Amino acid sequence: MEFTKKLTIPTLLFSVLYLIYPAVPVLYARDSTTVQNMKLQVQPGEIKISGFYHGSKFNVEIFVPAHYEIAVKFAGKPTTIVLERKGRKGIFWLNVDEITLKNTPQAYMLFFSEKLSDMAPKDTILSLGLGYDALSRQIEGTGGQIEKREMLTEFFRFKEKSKLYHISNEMLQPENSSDPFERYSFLIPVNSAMPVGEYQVVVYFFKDGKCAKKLSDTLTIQKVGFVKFVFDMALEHAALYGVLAILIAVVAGFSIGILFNFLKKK
Amino acid sequence: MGIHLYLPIAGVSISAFALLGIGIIVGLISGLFGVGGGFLLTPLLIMMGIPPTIAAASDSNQIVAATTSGTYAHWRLGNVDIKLGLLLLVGGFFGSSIGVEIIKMLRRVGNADFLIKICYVVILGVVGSYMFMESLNSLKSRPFRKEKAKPVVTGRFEKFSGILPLKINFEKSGVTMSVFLPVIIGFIIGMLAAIMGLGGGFIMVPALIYLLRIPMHVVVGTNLFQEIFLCINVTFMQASLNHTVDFILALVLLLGSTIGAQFGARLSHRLKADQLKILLATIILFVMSDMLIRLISKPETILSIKGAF
Repeated sequence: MEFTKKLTIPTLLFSVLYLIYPAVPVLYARDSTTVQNMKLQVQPGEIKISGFYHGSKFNVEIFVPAHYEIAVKFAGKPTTIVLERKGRKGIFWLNVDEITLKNTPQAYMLFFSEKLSDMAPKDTILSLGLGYDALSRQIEGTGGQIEKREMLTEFFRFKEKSKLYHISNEMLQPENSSDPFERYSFLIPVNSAMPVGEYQVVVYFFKDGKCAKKLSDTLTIQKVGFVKFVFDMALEHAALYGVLAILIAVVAGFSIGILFNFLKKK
Repeated sequence: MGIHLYLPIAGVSISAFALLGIGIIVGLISGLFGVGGGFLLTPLLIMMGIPPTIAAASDSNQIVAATTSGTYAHWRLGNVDIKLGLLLLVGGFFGSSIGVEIIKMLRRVGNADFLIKICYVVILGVVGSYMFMESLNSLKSRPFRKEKAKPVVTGRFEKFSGILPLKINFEKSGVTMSVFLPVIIGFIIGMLAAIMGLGGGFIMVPALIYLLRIPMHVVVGTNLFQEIFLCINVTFMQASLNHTVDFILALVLLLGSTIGAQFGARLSHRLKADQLKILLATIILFVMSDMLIRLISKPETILSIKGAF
């Protein structure tokens, strides 16, 4: 009986190893192939601001191996912003100081398939610039009699209210989980107040607590047609623009006046 | 709400019907009381999400149209005292130039916005309360008496106006006074208007009624006439120096306001002077209360982009 036991355990181990051995290189090859085949597609890649523009949406499509998690970051160019902070003085709320923040993205949105803290260690997440803690490290603040942490908390709240910053509370769900790939497809809203310019959509693929790969695509927001014409004219031919605006207002005022007088007579 | 319009300079999208509706209401007030309506329109546009500097500048552009339309209607009704309007305008131009310098100085010192708001609250509160009480008493005591032109107010102001030289007769207004009096009033109101960033109609109208005793209907037409030129000046300066005039915003607002101004001018002739004054006083007091509440209640976020009102 003991002999049979001694014989069976190594035999079983050997048999298992023998059976999976041919699959090891295949699995390895399949993994490297899947990393190669990860895909990010942003559609449309360009949002045109015309006369009746009221914000937009764009679709993000990601192909990811089944055992990977993803984090998707949508961010605009870093800019410098000057803010005024209100404080209570007596019974009034008035501007108490001025704060200058450098390296603040024009827009910042984050979506993920699993909690960031479950995907990778905190240091990895911070080094990739994911989340408000990472942004806080990146942003330089000057001025204001307020602690940096408190200042940034207020800043993020202010940007969220303007619908330019957003960290999703809901986890992204794959639409098709047939092995070996999962397909994520979701819409990112673009607020009408989002400034023109280039925005980056970056997807980070996580496995075993590490970022295995990063893919990025660009979204361009630009003014077109009459909107662009008016905007360019106001900047490049400001005096002419001012004169035209006045002339049109005077003509419109008179025309309506004459029209009403005519209607009254009739 | 329905069709949205993208405003190229403001960089935001707003409901076209909401803008048109606001334009009509403000135009109605403009035609009814002879004020540009900026004191009401600018805060409303800011509430809709338009950046304050662009709201104020585009507002002055649309006031050009509303006041032109209103002036035309009042001129046909014989309510515009051009002589008086031009003298107010001369004072207004000098006053507004000094006002711009004062505001620059206040901004250097700091908290200029707070001082402007307090200025608003005090002036609107005093003017609105006085107008309301006076008209209410007048309505109670002589409800059916029609308003007539009266001599310039009694007391210290009369003494002051009496010593001023170069007296001329203003036939349309039915008063005789020194040319310096409207110039001085235009100067003071022009200065206050520049500090507060408005056309100043809501201060000018009570000043003409209570200080110069001009009949209400002539006050309305004359103030609209002089405001056209003040707002043309502001629009040009804002467009050429600050690039803050959003023409599309102004165009939609002026469409509504010019139509509203016509109805307002006609309605003003159907209402008694005291009824008009009570209505204007109520609106002034409402705007003042809103401003005061905003000053003392905790804001939703304590941060704002620099330059926001």
